Amino acid sequence: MSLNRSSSGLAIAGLVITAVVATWWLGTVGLALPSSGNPERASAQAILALVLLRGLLLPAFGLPAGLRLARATWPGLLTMVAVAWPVVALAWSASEVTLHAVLAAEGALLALAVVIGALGTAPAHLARERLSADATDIMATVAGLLVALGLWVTRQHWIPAGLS
Amino acid sequence: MRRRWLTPLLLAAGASLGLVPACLASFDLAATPAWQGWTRAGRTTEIDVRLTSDVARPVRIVVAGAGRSVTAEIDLQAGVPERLQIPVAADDVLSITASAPGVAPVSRTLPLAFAQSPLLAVAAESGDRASLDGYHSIAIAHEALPRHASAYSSIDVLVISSSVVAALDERQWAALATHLGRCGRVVLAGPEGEWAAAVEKAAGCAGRNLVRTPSLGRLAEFLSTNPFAPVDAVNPTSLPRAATPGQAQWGYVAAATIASLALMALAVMLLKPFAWIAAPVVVTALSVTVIGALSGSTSLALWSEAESGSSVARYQAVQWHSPTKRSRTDAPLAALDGAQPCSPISESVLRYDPTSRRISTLEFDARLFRTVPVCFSGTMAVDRAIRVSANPDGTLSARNEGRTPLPAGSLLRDGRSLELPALAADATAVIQIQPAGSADLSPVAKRAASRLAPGEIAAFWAESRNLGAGGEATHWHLQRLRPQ
Repeated sequence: MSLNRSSSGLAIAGLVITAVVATWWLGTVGLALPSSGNPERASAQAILALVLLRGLLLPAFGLPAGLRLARATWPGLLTMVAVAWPVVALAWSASEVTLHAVLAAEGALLALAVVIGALGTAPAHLARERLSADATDIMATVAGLLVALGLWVTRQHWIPAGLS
Repeated sequence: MRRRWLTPLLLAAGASLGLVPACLASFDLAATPAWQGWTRAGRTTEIDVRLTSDVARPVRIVVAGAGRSVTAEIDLQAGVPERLQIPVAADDVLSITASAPGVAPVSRTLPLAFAQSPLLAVAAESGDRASLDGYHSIAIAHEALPRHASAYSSIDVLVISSSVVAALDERQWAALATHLGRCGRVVLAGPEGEWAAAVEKAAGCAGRNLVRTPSLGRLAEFLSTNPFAPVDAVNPTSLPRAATPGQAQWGYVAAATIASLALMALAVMLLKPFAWIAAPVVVTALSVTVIGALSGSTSLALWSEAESGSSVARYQAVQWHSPTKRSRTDAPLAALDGAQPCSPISESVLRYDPTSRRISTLEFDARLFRTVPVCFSGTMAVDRAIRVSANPDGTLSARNEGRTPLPAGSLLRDGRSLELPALAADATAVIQIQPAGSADLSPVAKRAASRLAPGEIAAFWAESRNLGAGGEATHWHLQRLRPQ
């Protein structure tokens, strides 16, 4: 697997989750508008969903990609975070979420992308020397899922208070 | 040698002596609520603010309640007292602050009293008293009567003597006339006269809520046989809108979202991985700029009603503001009376214009898709007159007796509609009443028909009006007609 392909996969994963959340957000807002509903709440929920999903998918997709390649996949990981920014910015315009909370969340995600990129390289060499390719894949997938699970459990601590 | 430093010192001292009084001089602030501070929950009252200053200076006055406030700016002249009446939504406690550059702000706190029972305000000669079972009665001196019609919403019944009406100043009379025109419940005590006739002429709802009584002593007995009619005002927020501004914005935002996702997909496919991060930054800046650059929209709906022969119509209106950018926004309001947010808007500020004596601007936190409605109520002059009479052949004659052309509309009776053609001034049209009209009414015509009593006939039309900052307004008018 080449670096380009792997990074493209991560970027496209980011695009897909952004598209899914954007569809939900626009649909909810579109339904709420004629009935004087509350677009602000749906917009805040869209930002939270984008932060959570990217936070969970970064390790789930990023760690296996890094372990398999034994190379940093930072372009893909950072793009996975950044592709949601246009939707996050528009949803923020329609919400009561503070700019500080959004910037803090995006900063945390960028930092997580950098850490996941670094984590992917270091143990990869070790794993490839001592384990088979299949075992590396399994270990990478399990490790990614475990980190994602850990992030889900500790979400109250890393998601800014203004978002949750 | 001494003179070298003495001269600038003396100059500085002289300048200081001149400046110090300007800095230290403060202003006097006094504030009095209308109706002796009595009001009811959800109503509007008025604060009478009096200011004096030793020096000429611009002063900003803020009347603040919980989460909303009204501001006004005036230029104080040295030693000239200024008086300003500011309409404001009732709250438990109102704080009034006057501030000017270089002077410490001066504040006053006004607690308001919320009556649990209906309020009866009595404005009569000293010594006259009136009371009604179930009402909380307050005595008001004529000079304390409000200058804004919206402040009359604080009370439920006004008892006023014709001598007090005669003593009102121009603005007080205008406010009372508007209150009467909006079918406010008023008891007029005293003999016939010029002012009693003026009060009767100003009364809306064909005078059903204006009660004449020769003496206040028998008020309760009199009202038991002449009860007030219920006031059935149109809820302005339920008026139809030509378009929902948020839905138009939704289309643009959906297009911007799709375009930004497509652009980023292209960037991932076509650019080198290390250039990918630049694409979201550029696309985000573009989409936010494009959406923010779209002009926010404002629309206005106005509903007025008048009785046959009345020179004034009472109206309810709503102005919707839909900005496209998240920011603190100033929305100019239509030149109509009684402006108040239709529902509480957090951190909103209404600006009172002392020149036009109206709330002129609403300042609020704008959000994409957020539509903020501002409601108005008042009276307006009726500049159109129509007379409908039955012809011997079974047709109807509709004649425009006004000086302005009449737009096409409909004649409504018993839930049915007849087409009323556009009429030039002094023109007459013959209307066939066979078949007896269509029952297939538009939603807005159904609403108009529902406001008529059985057998009552009315002309109803819609037209566009320019109401200043509100832009083009849709104006529906229901003119009740006297059967001929």
